[in-house]
Amino acid sequence: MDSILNPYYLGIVVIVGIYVILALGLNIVTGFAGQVSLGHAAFYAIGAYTSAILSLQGHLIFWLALPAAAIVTWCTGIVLGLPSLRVKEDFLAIVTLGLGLIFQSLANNLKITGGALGLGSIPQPELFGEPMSNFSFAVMTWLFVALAAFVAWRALNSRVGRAWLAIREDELVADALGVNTTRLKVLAFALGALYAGVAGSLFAHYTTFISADSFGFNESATILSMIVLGGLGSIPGAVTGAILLALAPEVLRPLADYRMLIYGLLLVILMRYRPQGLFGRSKAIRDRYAKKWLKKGGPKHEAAGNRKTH
Amino acid sequence: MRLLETEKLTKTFGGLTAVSQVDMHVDSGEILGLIGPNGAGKTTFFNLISGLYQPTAGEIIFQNQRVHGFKGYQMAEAGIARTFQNIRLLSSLSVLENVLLGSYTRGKAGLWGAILKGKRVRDEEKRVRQESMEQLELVGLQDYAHQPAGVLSYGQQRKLEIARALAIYPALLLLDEPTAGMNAEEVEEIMSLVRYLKSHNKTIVLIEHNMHLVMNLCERLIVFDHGEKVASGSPQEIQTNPLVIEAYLGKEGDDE
Repeated sequence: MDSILNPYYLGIVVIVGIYVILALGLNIVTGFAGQVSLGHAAFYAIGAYTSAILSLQGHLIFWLALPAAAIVTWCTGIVLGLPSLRVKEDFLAIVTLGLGLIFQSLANNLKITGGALGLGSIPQPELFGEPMSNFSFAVMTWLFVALAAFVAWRALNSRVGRAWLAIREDELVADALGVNTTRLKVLAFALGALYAGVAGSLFAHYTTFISADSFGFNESATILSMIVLGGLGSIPGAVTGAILLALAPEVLRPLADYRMLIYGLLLVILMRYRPQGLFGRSKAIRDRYAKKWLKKGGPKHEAAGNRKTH
Repeated sequence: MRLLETEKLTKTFGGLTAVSQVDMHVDSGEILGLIGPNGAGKTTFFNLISGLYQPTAGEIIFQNQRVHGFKGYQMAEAGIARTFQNIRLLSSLSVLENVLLGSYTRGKAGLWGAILKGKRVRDEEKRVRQESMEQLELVGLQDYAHQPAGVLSYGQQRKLEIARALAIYPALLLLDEPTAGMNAEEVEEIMSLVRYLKSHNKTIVLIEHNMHLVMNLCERLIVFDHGEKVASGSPQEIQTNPLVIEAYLGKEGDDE
């Protein structure tokens, strides 16, 4: 039990949880709605800095700073989504890449974000008047993970989720079926941003120190790799992909200098042999199942239009 | 009653005029056929009245309302549904999910409603699922509801597109070559489906090359050639119209 409660391991558990939330959020934008974002870390940063600044300068407690960070990132998601989502595919990837760079450089240079020095002494959350232990922080993080997964699942299996999938598969058809595609894309973007805001707030109050280095392009690319590895659009996939990629650098630590080499190699091999990701069921596989079903007798009766019932 | 009317509707792409000054109307409850050679501008015309293209000039009036500049989703909300010449199903989604998408405009559930999933949202979801199954029964695909749309045969995919469009409960249904690539039996099924829809007061405009279908099903025809409306009238009138014969077969003494 002692080893599990070891702060080093608990730290990994928290950080992995934060990555799962980030991955679940980007999965809504890229996996559900099909909008590639290379700047997800920007919202992670906005959430972290908002939460940190509100507690440091506004003396807001963590339990208010976190929802405030979520609201701020949701609104920023809408404001940034409206112009960026007017462009598509590769262009959108570049626009979001640019947004990520802008926010990192702002964080690096603004006075309010502490510039290159970053922000330190961010207060740790308190629970019932006591500072939260590492263990309770880990539990809380994973409660947020569970909530995030549940919300994503509910959203996906709804009228809104179906509209997202339609946009991902064929935007013109979505439009013709009555889906206001701009509005729905911005909605996905804002929800993904909100997830990143929560993750950012957790990160800031766990590490108690943040600087622009934590929110660079590398971070955005890692989160995107997580959901691609897990299988775009799959909630268990996003969770598994995030856990694997967040743990890999720790597990591979004994390899020292070869660590990132092996990590990269694993990614390449996986994408070569399972391009649809761990949990992505490729169209080919699904079609094969369906063809088997058709062979086994298919539909109960071949109906040529069952209009008498009306 | 006039359901849809266009006045001097025009669409140009750069220097090319795809649809030129088209005046036409659709009355409630009728089946109107659009015919003409390939490249005559029929599909472009559909794209204009379904809001997928914005007109360069002219007016579109739907249910006495100017719908000029409406986007595709606004036309769908107004009650215009369509199918596509090159079938555009979401092939990785199930057959039922494709039809459920068609019911998008008839739902209200937003993001937060979907997450909280209160009674109203649950009831709505139940209702649209039931109604979507009814649309599938109408075209005879109810047993395929949970299969991916991609495994359906070509003819079934066309029927699924019609079911999806019907799920909008449209006032006007636009069918772009509904029988393209179908065998004779499937063509008969589509014809009986269209007749059934007419008997239920649906208004249908269809683009079709199958003359057997056009002449037997449509009450009125409009002929397009080079982006212009060259003739309109009953199937009998059209069959004997010299301008139509010219559009299809070329002028006498024409080298082409």
